[in-house]
Amino acid sequence: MTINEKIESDKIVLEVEGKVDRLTTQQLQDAILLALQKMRQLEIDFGGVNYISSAGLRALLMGQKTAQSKQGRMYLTKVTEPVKEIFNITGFSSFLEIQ
Amino acid sequence: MKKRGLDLKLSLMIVIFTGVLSIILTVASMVEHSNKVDEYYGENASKLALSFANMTDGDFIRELRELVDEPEFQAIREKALETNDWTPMENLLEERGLLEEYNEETDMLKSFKKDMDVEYLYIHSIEGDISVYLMSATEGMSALGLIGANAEEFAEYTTNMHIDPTVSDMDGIWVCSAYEPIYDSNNEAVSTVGVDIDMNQVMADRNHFRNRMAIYCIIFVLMAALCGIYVIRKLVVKPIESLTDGAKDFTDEESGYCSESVLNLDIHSHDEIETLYTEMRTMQEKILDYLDNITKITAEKEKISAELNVATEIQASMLPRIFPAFPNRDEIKLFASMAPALEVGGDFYDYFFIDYYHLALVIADVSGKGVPAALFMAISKTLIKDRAQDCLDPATILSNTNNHLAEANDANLFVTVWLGILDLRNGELKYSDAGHEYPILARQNGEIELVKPINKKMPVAAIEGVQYVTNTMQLNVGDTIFLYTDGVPEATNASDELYGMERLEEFMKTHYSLDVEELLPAVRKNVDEFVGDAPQFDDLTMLALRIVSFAEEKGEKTDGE
Repeated sequence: MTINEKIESDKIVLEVEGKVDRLTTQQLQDAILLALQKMRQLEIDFGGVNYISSAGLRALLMGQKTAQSKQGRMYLTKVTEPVKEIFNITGFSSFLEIQ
Repeated sequence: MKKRGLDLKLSLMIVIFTGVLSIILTVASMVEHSNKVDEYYGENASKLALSFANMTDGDFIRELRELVDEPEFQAIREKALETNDWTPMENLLEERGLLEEYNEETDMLKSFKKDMDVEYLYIHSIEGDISVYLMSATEGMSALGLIGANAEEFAEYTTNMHIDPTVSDMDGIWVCSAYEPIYDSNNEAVSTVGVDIDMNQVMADRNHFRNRMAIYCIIFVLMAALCGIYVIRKLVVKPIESLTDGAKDFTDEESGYCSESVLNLDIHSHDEIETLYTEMRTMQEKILDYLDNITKITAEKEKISAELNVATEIQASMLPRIFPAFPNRDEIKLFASMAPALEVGGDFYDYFFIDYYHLALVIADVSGKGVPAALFMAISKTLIKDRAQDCLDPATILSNTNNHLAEANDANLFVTVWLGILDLRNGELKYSDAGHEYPILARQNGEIELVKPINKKMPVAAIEGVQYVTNTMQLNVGDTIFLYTDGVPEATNASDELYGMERLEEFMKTHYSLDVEELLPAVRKNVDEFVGDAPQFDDLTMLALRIVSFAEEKGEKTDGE
């Protein structure tokens, strides 16, 4: 999994690519929390992700909670079908902001 | 490679060094001494020659020299040589009035030679290639007129003059020769006095001295080498050997890190060896400390590992494992199994009767692995069962549990739960799905469907205040419901492929009719075959329930357990 961070004027965009599993989750979690420290608005580009494990979901949960506690915003874009399915099964689609 | 001792190497160096040194010193001192002695003898010889030259009457010598050139003299001399009768020569000298002075001069030569201990004493005229002999202390009359060829180095002397003394080997006899001119009354050099001093004794002394020096040198070199060996052995080799032995003892597998090996050596040489010893001691102490620590850590790890084993047992014992689950209830057949990926996993299942007719089924998966997940699982399982004791609505049970767990969840763990409550009287299944996998329902006729709720909600404990929703569906006699965790569809083989829902559904289609006790092991086997040698990352947890018949209404309800 690779994460590419782009800083724009009003938000940070994290372009994630690969498998978000138990081996790579910590990396994603660190990237999300660091980005939210820098800016209140965070966009996560999930276009290159086709699998996310429950540990990965936990990283997104922490990110969403952190964004809310800071009156910020975290949202996902370009979510692929398999990942959308996982979000649906786990009920995360009712909690995460997915565009 | 052949090993050579340090002492041998260094003593070889000492031998070479002292040997060369003593050879140089001996040769230098001998050359110096020889030169001095030669100079001394040369000076002496020159002085003797000079004093004799001064005593000699130059005019007489000139006349003698002129006489030799006369043909008459040469004829007489040749005859005298043949007959060995020197009287005609004497007569000729008498005739010329030279005999008296000749005899006086000869006596003087003889006594001078004797008094001064000179080997040869003679008067001759050096004339380039030749020398014309006039008188000799040893040869007598035969010397008069003798013409001898000169050595090459004498060729430059065409007139009589002072010649620097030389030391030379004259047919086995070492002599020091000096030559001084004799002047006549006109101050003309008419001839030369030659003095040869015997140097044989000096040369013998010199050889003797050289031989003695050679012996002294050998003795000196040997002693230096022995001293060198002794000193090097004592100062360097021995301490290094004891350090080596100590180090060997220390690392020897049999004696096993013998703590006394290096520590107990007694080296106080105040040099590099002592520094080396000190460093080795420190190293040994540190290694021993380190070993001590490792031992402690290992013991600690073993303790933790033992505790983990106990934790695994506790976790396993938290799940109902005795089958048939309800021997007194013929209406249902139920089987469940769990195979954790790590020692302690986060999956769990549960089943219990809330009352005589209502059977609760739970399958859940805590996010994360290991001890934290297991602890969270224990709390979740307990809470769900506790909340279900007086409640028949799955949504309410999950909402209560969620609020309780989400309240203080700093670790942000969550648990996907599928909770169903089956009314055994009519097959009505009320269920609530908190982010869990869709259970598979296998109808009696082999139809397979996924149990998809209308409202899918977040896993329990993720966020506070989730209102879970209860869905209802109808089960009939012969229907089987199969619950599982994501470890089943997400089992991965070596080429990174997922087992997947399609394979699972396909398998259920063909194997749904197996007894539940056989169905779960069969799924497990199928998954294992798919995975092959790839390691198992996730827990494999499954539960299957089949309705055999509906329960009949009883007048009095009793607890099923």
